[in-house]
Amino acid sequence: MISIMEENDAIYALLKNVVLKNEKMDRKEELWDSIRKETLTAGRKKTVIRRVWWIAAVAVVAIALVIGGFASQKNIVSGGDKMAVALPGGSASELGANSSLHYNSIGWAFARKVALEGTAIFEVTKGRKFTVHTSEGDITVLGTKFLVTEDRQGTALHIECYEGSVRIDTKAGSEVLKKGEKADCSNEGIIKAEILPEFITYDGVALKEIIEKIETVYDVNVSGKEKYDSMTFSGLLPTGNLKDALDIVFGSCGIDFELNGKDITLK
Amino acid sequence: MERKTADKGIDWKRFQNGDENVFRHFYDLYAEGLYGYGMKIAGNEETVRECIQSLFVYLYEKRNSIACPNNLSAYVFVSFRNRLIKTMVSDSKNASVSGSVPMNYDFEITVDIQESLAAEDGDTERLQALQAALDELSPQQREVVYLRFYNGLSIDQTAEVLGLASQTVSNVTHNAILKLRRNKLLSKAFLLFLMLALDRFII
Repeated sequence: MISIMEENDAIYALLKNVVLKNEKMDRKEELWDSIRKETLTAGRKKTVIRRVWWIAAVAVVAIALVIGGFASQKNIVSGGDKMAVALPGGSASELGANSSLHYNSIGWAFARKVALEGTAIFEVTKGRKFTVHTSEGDITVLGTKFLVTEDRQGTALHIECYEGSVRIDTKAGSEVLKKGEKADCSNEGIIKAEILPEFITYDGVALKEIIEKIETVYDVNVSGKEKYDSMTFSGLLPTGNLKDALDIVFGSCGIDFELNGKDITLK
Repeated sequence: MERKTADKGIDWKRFQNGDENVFRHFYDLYAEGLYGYGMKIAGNEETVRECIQSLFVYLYEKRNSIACPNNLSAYVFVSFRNRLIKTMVSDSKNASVSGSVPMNYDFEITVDIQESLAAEDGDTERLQALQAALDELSPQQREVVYLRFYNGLSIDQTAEVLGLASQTVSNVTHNAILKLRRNKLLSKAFLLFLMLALDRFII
C-alpha cells in the first residue's frame, strides 16, 4: 500500500523537473518598473486630487454663503415720503420718511428680526417672536400693529401699540405695552401713557374740563383758570402740539395766556 | 528547479512602513508564480500582467489597512485569482452581448517537452504520458495539482485560494492522483518516479 504522503511525494517528484509552458515570465523588470511608477505617482496624485476637492468644496460653500448672505440682505431706505414694505411671511411695515429698515430674508426663517433707523409702523402676522432692533433697544412682539420712532440722535425712543401687545427692552428697563398704550424711552427710563387721538372733539364741554385735559396730555400746569369756570368749549383739541392746542382753546374763548415752560398763566 | 512559491515570510512591518527592498522582495517572491498560475486561467499575457501590476499596486497602497495575512501565499494567490476572474468577466461582458458568462476555464497545463528534455535526461515518452494524464484530469483537479505540487501550496492554502473546504481539496487531490496512476502510459513512469521519490525521501 502506498500512503497518501508517499503519493504526494511521487507527484512532487513527477513534476519536479518538468518544465511547463507559460511559466517563464518575460519582462519581469519592466512590470516591476510599471508597478513602482504607479505606486509613486498614484499616492501623490491622490493627495493632490483629495486636496483639490477639499479646496473646491470649501470654496463652493464659502461662495454660496457670501452670495446667499448678500442676496438675502435686504436694505430698504425711504426717501422724503413714507413707504410700504412687505416683509417675509405676510408681515408688513409702513416705513416713515427718511427711515431705513434692514433684514435678512434667509435669516428670517430662523428669527423674525428687523433693524430700524427712523420711524415705521409694523403689522405682524401671528407666529414666532418678531423683533425690531434699534440702537436704543429691542421691541419684541407677537402679532400686533405698532409704531416705533427713534429720534435722530438715537437717544430717545417712542413706541405706540395699536393692536395686540409689544414688549420693550431697553438699557433703562423693560415694559409691556397693550393696545392703545404708548411709551417714551430714554436713558432715564420708560414712560408709559395712553395713546390719544390726534384731536379730541368737544361739543359744549366745560372749559374747566378741557383745561384739565390739556394739563394731563401735555403735562403742564395751568394757573388762573378758576375765573373761567363758567365757560364752555366746542371744537377740536390737538393732542400733538401744545402751542396749537392753547391757541385753539384759549383763542376761541378770547382768553390771553402766557406760556412759560410747563407753566401756563391765564390772564 | 526551485519551487517558486516557498512560504517565505515578508517582514510585514517593514513593508507597511514602505520599505522599498521588502516590496521588491515581495514582488520577486510571487510575480513568477502568479504569472504561471494566471496564464493557466486567463491564457492572455497582457491580462495576467495587468492583474499582477494592479495587485501589487493595491497591496502597496493599502498596506497600512491590510493586517498581516495569516497565510501570505494563500492571500496573494486568492487576491490575484479574484482580480483575474473579475477582469475576465468584465472583458467578456464587453466583448459579447450575451451578458453573463460563466467563469469556467480549462486550466490547461502544457508540458514543454523540448525544455524538459533539455533540463534533464528524461524521455519523451514519459513526458507525453504525463501530458496525456494531465489532460485527463478535470480543470479543477489540474488547478489543485498545479497549486499543490507545482507552486508548493499546502492543502489549507490551496483550499483558501480556491474557496473550498480543506477536505474537498484533499479529496480532489486524492482522486487526481488515482487518475494519474490509472493512466497506463504514465503508470510505468509513475512507479519509476515513485521509486525514485521513495529512495530520495527515505534515504
